[in-house]
Amino acid sequence: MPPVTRWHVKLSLLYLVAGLGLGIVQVGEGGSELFAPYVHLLVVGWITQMIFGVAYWMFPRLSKDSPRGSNHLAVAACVLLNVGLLLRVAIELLQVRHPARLGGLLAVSALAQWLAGLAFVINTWPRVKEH
Amino acid sequence: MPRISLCFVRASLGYLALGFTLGALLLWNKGVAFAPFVWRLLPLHIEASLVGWVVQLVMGVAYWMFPRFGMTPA
Repeated sequence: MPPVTRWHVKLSLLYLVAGLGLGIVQVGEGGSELFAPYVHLLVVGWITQMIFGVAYWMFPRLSKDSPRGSNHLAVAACVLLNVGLLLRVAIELLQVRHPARLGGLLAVSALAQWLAGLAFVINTWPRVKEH
Repeated sequence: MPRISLCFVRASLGYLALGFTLGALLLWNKGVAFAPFVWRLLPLHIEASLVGWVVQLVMGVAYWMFPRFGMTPA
């Protein structure tokens, strides 16, 4: 298992625990402000991140010289996805007490996650082939 | 990878790009409001991300990797 896959899988397991924990808190609080970070911890942090990691490891090889495509793009996708998601969750949790603060950082988080998705698609697309 | 899986996985990558783009617009608009109509894209973001990306990828990979009908166990 390549190192990037290890990071993705370990982080995805942590996000699973964090997401389920926030789900319990959310039910207790009865508030809708925690719903978006809760859903994104699970769908982006756990499911999407697990797919990123396993796809990088298991998808068909690109070539003999570069079997998994660009390692730099894979690392960039991993870093950007996690920085973006953590920033989003931290700000949305902060905004429960202090609404409408640090909105600019949510835009940074949006850009980071979008770039992570783009890096993954660019790196993975050529590996999706019949043979 | 069989041809049907290829179609599923390539389509799922397209939906990932669409879902992430819509999500980025929604999150940006939540932080720095620039266009109220962006909120109308929320159902499309959810559908593209869950059905288009996750479900479709799972279907494509399952067709490729699961044991085949008619194969005798080794």
